[in-house]
Amino acid sequence: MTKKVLLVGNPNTGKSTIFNALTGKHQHTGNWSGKTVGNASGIMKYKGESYEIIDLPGIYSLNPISEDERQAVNCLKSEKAHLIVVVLDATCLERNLILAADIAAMCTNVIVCVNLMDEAEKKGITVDTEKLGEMLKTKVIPTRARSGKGIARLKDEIYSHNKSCGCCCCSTECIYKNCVFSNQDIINNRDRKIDRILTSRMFGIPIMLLLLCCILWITIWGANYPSGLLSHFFTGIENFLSEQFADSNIIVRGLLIEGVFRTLGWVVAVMLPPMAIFFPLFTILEDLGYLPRIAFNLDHIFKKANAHSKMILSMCMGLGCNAAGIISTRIIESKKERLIAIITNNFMPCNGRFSSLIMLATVFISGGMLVSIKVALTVTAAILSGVFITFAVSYILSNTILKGEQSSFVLELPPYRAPQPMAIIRRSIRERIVYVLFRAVAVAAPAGAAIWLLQNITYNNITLLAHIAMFLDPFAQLMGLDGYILTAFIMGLPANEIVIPIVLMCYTGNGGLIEFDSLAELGMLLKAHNWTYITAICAMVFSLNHFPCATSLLTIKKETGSIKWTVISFIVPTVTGIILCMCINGILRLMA
Amino acid sequence: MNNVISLTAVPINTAVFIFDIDESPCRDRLRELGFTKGTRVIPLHANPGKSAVAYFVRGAVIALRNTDADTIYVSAKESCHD
Repeated sequence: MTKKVLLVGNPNTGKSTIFNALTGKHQHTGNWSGKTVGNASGIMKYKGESYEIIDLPGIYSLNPISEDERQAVNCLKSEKAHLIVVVLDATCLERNLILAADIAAMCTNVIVCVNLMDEAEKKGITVDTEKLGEMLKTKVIPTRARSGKGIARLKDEIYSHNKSCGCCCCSTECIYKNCVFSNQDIINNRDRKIDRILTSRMFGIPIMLLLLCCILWITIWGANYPSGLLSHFFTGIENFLSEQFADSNIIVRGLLIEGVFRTLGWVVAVMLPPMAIFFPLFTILEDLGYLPRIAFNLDHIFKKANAHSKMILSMCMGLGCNAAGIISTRIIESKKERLIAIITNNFMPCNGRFSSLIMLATVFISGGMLVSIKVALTVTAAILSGVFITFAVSYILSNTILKGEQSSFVLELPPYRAPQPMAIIRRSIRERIVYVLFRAVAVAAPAGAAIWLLQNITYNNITLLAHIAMFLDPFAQLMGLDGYILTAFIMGLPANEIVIPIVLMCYTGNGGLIEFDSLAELGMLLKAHNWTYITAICAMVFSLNHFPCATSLLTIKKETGSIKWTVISFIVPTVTGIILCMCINGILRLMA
Repeated sequence: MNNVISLTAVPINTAVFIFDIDESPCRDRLRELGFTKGTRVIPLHANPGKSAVAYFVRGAVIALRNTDADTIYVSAKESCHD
């Protein structure tokens, strides 16, 4: 029988890192409080015994306040655990001990793991773990989970654990004074010096914008070449397949090769490179501990918008994937503010839409010097407009359907930590590349088949696709788009990655260019189909402001447990997008 | 001798000790983060909009909005009422 082992502790003490070290799994880790919002479990095998290790979200006490904490405490109280491992941060024992003592007093099957011993050492903090064990009356194991030190001993203790006494008779202050010796320089240590620059009045916000722009620029510049390469690769295969199956029936030649395979090729060639580059760059910032600083820097703006500053964390997660962003809103304590964060999360372009934005920006930035920088600036502007719209919509929501008192803002600023390049690369490959390829097959293939059928089945001598596009065209024209673009957005409901590929499929359905060397060349293709800079801007705006993808909608339903809020989350960004597109289109046309 | 002021009135990099915390919705959160009577707190730096300040408390750095920090009363000396 597998025995259950729970990992509990304050947020950001390295529970997930220990979990990964024990189970060999690859649970997400990040340098901020609230990274883990749901339980993760994995199996550890040791000396013939098998243990189920459960990684709980971080908690500060046994009285939960936010949703992620509620989950952890419920699990702690209800699970029949063989053993509870309390993970403590050696650099912050004065606070961590409060929870450890509470848990030790409640349960008799506790061992304590003092993690981040290396960091404490560097800060001039020494922990007497022997003495700590004596005073807490439990086994205490010092670890450095990131380098794997102490993990073998921890496994051994999990295996050989006997009941602990659990009665601890001194106050945590007393334990702290006896076991921890610190000559830490609180005011002038490295982290404080960095903070004084990164969160200063002068440089705080400019550095943030510069970082965003840099990341986008590296993404765009870096994606160009692999995109062209992948395009050649897929076109080569497509040509080869077409020749091989030249005599076969229309289903194989048309539906499978021109429909399914070509769409797959588009999605991988156009969407994958930017996603694969952006994701690791963003993870570096996350591991550094920069995200909570962004929340700290922008607090006054959130305060004015009547929203919770922790929302920026879910917004940042939304840049990777909106569904992940929506789940990460669990760290927001107040229900109303959490709903605001969920409804507005879609205004942050996820990785898939973000690749679309890059693509669209190339339409009106043609050739010349510094193309990638200009595109980066345009996409930065697009993301900032998303942030601005988030603030505006939050303000409106918090003054209408989600009225309520603003709750407090309490956020831990973690120590800066060096990112682990290998872990980031491994995670990016596993999560982005494999994930995108999987989604490409799962979503783009059927969409490719559907679009090919629509293009090739005619009714009254006009293809079904043309019928749909013609039907949507008058409305789309008002929004500065055309019927095909709007059709693509609607067909892109399952996944935003396929919107641009569908547009390209619609235009190249009857042959024509399907191979390209750079993203800029694709821009030329769109221009050949009557795209102007107005079309591109409106398409960017609608890409930024439209209904969440199917996965996000399902996540919203699951997180809010209400159809009403799911529908509102669908309507709010869509209506915003339609209004904005119509206004922008109208103004630009009047000016032109 | 023992002047009690609100935490927001404390100059940066000055160590003070918590004397009392007002009843408020965020009191529980503050308590579990280690803002309890007698605890040493050091304000470290304000954010760009000056709406929040980062504090050193019990080994961690915690950012608090000024409206919340206003509910915490501190004195320059460790209080001796416990």
